[in-house]
Amino acid sequence: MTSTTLSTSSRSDAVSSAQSIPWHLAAVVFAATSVLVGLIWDISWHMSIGRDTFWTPAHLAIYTGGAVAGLASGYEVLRRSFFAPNESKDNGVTVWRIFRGPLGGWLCIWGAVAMLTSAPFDDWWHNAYGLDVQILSPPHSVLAVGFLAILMGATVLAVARQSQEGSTSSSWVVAYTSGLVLTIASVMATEYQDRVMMHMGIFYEVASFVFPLFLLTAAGAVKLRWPATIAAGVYTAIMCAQLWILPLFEASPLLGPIRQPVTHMVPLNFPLLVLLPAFLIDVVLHRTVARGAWYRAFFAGATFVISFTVLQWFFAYFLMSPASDNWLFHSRNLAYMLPSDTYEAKGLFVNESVSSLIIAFGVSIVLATIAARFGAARGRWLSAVQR
Amino acid sequence: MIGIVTKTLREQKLKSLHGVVRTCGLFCARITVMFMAWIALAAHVGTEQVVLEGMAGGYPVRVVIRPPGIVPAQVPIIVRVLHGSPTRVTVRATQFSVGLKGAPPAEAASVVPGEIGTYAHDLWIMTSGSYAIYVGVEGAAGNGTLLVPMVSAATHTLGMPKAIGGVLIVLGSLLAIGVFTLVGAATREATLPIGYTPDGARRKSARVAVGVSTAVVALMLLGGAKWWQSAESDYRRGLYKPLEVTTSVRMQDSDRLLKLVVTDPQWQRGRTTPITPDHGKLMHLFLIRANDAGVIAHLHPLRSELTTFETLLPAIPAGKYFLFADVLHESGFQRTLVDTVDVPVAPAIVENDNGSAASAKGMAQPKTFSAFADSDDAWRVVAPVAVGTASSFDGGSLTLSVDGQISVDRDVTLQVAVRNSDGIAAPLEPYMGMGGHMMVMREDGGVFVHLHPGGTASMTAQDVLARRERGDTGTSFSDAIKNEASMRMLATSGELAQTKSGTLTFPFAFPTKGKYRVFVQVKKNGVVQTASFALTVPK
Repeated sequence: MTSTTLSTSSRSDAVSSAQSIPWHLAAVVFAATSVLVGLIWDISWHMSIGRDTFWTPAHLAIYTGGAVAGLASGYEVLRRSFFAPNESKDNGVTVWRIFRGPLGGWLCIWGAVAMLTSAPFDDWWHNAYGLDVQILSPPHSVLAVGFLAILMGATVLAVARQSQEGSTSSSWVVAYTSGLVLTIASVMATEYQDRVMMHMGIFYEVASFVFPLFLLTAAGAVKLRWPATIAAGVYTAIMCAQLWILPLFEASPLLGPIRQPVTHMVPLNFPLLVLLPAFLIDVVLHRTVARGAWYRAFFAGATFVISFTVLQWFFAYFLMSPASDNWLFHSRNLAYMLPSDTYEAKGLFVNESVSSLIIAFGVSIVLATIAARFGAARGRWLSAVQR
Repeated sequence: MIGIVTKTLREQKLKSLHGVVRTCGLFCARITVMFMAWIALAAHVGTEQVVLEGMAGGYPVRVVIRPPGIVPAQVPIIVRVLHGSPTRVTVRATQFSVGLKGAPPAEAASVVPGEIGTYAHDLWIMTSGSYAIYVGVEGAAGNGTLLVPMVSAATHTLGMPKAIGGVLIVLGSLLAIGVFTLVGAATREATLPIGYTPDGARRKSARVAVGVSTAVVALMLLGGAKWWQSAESDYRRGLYKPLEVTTSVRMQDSDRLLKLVVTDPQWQRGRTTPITPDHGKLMHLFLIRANDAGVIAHLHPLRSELTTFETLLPAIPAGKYFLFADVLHESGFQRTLVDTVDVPVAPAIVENDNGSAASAKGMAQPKTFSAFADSDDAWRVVAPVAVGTASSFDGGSLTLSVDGQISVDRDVTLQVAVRNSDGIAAPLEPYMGMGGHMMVMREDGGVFVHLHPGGTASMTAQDVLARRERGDTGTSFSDAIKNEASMRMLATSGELAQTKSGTLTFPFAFPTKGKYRVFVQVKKNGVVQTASFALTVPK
């Protein structure tokens, strides 16, 4: 947005770029992974065991991620601000004219503070309104924003590295962190992703906003040929890994009422089929390079909606059938507290009228276009990040 | 013309004034009822605490449960083993709808340091409704389980402590400032190549971005506040609310007919499980004179319609009365209906000060009342005496004592000793299946509990929950009355022995400080005797 001002800027120092991934970036990428793994583990814990304490492994993974991201970034900011006299003063973003650090580091610090803030808020919330049985609540949203900030911080650090160094390895780091962000966004929307909703308009409306937004961001930020496909691949790999690993561990509910038999950790759902739609987005973007931003956004968004709808709509029949009740798809991943008279327990679709679905399809294309346009703008800005 | 207009305006003003006065009166009345309603918790009024004694295998135990009024939440369960040394004590919560099959495993209770024979454990209770808490005791005297009925209900929300509020304001402000700062810094420098310093245009863009982000953060905070309010409203809607009732007393010939109508939509639309007799009665209704607690009537109205209960009033003085009506649902959920009612003067009635339908025998009761009153109805105009002092009645006396220092939430044993006029212990007869009945009321009506020698939990609820677990849900309504009336209640040989010796013990914990009135009713020589005691619970 301010690239034209470079000519009036003054160069004060030159900075050499290291060839290996700096420890700070490695630490933050580890932290982002830990936060995401902890979050998925924690949701599974609440579906399988129910009762938790401060010290559950899932919580520890989340806290470790927050602590590592915050402390590593805090250290880097202090180092650059006060203990690196030989480095350029203009190699980071400046805060309050004293502190200097990479933008991604600042995001991680902010994310850690948000996580810290959510702790007393969530504790009070539980005391006031009881233990929450929902993913999205005001204190959880503060925590979620903290997660997102840390994952976004990791991405920003990686893109800065990619801009400075231009190596393929740094681009792969950006692609990986973009996949992490895509995954956490999808997990946040879990309540709208159950298979019983796969023949409902809201399912496609939510997916058509979330996925194009982050896939197009990845497409803009990652300097690889198939960025959206790789980000979707990371999402698919993580969701498959949790699907195949978590049920290997025995678990039984420690809270009642128990309405579903649970003997092992209950995983989250099989990943949505976004791999092919993401590949098609990459193809569309390759073939429309010379076109305007809204034109590209419309075609990318519409391509996603059409391909995703066709794939997921028919795949849903399979997920509802007994054939998918196996180690590969785990379609009977019912939480212990789920009443037996629910659509999920009965394995029934919540159906809508054809007219509602047609309207939802149109709304999905509009949402996907807006999300794609916004995502592309974010991706372009990210790709320009230097610090 | 002007005069007509002036008159009309004056009339309108007068009407308006009347309206205001009437509205104020109704408002005050409503506030009173709302206050009464607010304090009425599920099983009792002003407390959800359960104190119950019984045998778990070979061990006599007292179980104290203190639901926090928040759902879901951890509920402290305290088990006092009254005799013997068990090797293990466990607790387990089962919700009525799923029973033991859907209950998490039993959890071991830990020994409470410094309290010999006392074990404690917090159980997670996730839903509202009727629960059975299974207390398991293992040891040389024999393993066994005691079922303790418990009502789980969300009754209030917590305000935010100032310290937490302060911490959250500081951290929240830091986050908001962080957003503005980072947006500005990112716009100004993030895309600038290393080694360059931002120019004026970038700085200007950064200021614009900070302005925009401020607006966005403000909108997000506004949205967050709305969300929070919405969650608060949802929670408040889900809070347990006492059923709305309307009570009136009207003259019917020379009788006063009390009519209680459950006007609550939940009840009228059949969204509550049916009620079932407890101690052989569908409803136990207590009238206690509001200004001095100097009159108590324990009546058993009949249900004339699905929502309506009626009873003739005995010879109690006119005045304003607190009304508490206990009912038991088939799920084991105990409920107390609360209201206040004005009892009018009864014409041509000579008020006696000690009444019992069973013993009326032509005393100055209205004829219709004598003919139709429930044989277990009992009432008395009675002045309280202090704890430890004998309260006299015709043919004997009743003394109440406490086994320790009374304080808030401390479970104590309230001991009752009944003696004949000659000072010899008087054997007692079962009164509605129990050795005795005790009504504890804080003098402002804010707390009311009807308990028995076993404790505060209904033994019928205990029975309902045990039968539910056995799959025995086919007991008919008439069977329920018959079974209840067959005095199945004198369940333990211990209680039977107590009644023979004229002594009874009631385990109880006073939930709040204040002045209390304790009414005790026992049956001796076919007559129900009522005594009243005054005591103060310090903080």
